[in-house]
Amino acid sequence: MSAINFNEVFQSLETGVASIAKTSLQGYYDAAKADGENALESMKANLERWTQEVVSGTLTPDDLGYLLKEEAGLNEMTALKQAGLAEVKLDQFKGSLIGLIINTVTGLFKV
Amino acid sequence: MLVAASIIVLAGCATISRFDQYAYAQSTSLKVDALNVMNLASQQYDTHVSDITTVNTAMDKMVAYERNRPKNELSEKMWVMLRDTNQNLYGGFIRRWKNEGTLSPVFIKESQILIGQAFDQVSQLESGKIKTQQATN
Repeated sequence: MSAINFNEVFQSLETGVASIAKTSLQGYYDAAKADGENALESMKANLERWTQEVVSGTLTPDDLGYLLKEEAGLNEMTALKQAGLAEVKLDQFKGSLIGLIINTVTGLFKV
Repeated sequence: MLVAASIIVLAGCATISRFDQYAYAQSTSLKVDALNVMNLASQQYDTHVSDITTVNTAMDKMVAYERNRPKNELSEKMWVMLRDTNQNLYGGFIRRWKNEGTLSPVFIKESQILIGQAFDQVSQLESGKIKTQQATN
């Protein structure tokens, strides 16, 4: 069996890691960005509607105060969800990394 | 040797719990129950204590269930936020209902939208977790 060129092996692993990171983390970035944009649009629409409802008397200023606090709570829930989904992506990344290492190393010993 | 050690370290340290079908089903089911109870808030709190207690107890059980799943702190925290009467989601809504006796239909409707979305965040995190079948592939 010929000697193993570890520089080549690690170069191949580096390329693989970069590719896995790009594919697995891009999806998370896109989803988190969309969540943030939706939250902003929703906050704007809510504030406009609630203000009109206070003016028309169907909501009290007290109601408005509660709704703003509920919205802040919702935003915190969204942030916690995104933190969790980031951890999921990290685990998926680690899983792919294990696969890459195993495939690369076992490939060295194929005849 | 180094490679084998790296694989063992990587494989042995999952960051977050795996998908749990029961937790997912409960998050969607309790959302419906919570929004249904909120619908009653235009009527006197005292006349619906039994309905409220049923939902509160189911949520307390869910918090306990989530607390006992390993590496599940974020989901547990989300359930605590929903349930906690000192915060401003479902538990906060119930606290206000209790304090004020009745709530206005417009406030109830607007709260249902926000709190429904808060429950959705819990479901979306659970459904985004790695399924056991995926993990073993």
